[in-house]
Amino acid sequence: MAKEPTSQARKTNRPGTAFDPVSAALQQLHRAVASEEMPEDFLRILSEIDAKIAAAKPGIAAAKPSHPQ
Amino acid sequence: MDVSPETLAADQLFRDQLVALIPSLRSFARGLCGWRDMADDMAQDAMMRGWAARESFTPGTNFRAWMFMILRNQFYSTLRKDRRMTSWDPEVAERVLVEAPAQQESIHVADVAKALQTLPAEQREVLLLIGASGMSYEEAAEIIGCAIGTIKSRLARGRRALALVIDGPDGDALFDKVA
Repeated sequence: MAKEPTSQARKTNRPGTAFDPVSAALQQLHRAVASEEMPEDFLRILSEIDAKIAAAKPGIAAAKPSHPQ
Repeated sequence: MDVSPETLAADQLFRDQLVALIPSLRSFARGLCGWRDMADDMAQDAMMRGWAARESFTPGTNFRAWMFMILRNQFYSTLRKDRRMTSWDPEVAERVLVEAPAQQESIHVADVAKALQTLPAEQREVLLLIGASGMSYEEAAEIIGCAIGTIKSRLARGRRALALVIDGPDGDALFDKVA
């Protein structure tokens, strides 16, 4: 007799594809983090990189980081 | 300092690729160490290390794999210094508990997230790279620096271990259907 899905388990099978509950959960975890708003610290690093690129361009004044700390 | 137009273009491209990769870097780091703040610190450190070493990156090769290698090295380096990283982050559990029902996942996402942190890092990273990030065996093998057969073996062991943690000894039945 087939084992019943766990209490939280309800499958969302698509025709012709085997549903993989672990992969679905792992992908959900990935999406949850990836969809978060980017923290300020990351933006500050990008600003520093942008400033270095701008400073290396001839004839263009170096941009100041937007989040100096 | 004079910089050639080619170098400037390469730097700009590197920067753009880095920006696009930040969500994935944060996700991989979070899955590896389980602590949001520590994971973001690791991801930021990897970004800065990657930028500093950008001249060693060969354009046209796999940028994602290259950056993930840097992050992974950072994780294992930090892990050796601080064993707390294997702990579970309760903030993550609370958030995914809210999100999971709406997604109609077949097993509880929070259970999987929590179970992940109980696995050996070598199994956890393979599950994260292939299961969460959707990488191929080949790309995961490149990042970890091992054979594809080793990746497959670790993936299978990791899945079974997750099943045991989530569903108990009968959990293998759930995973055998899709193995």
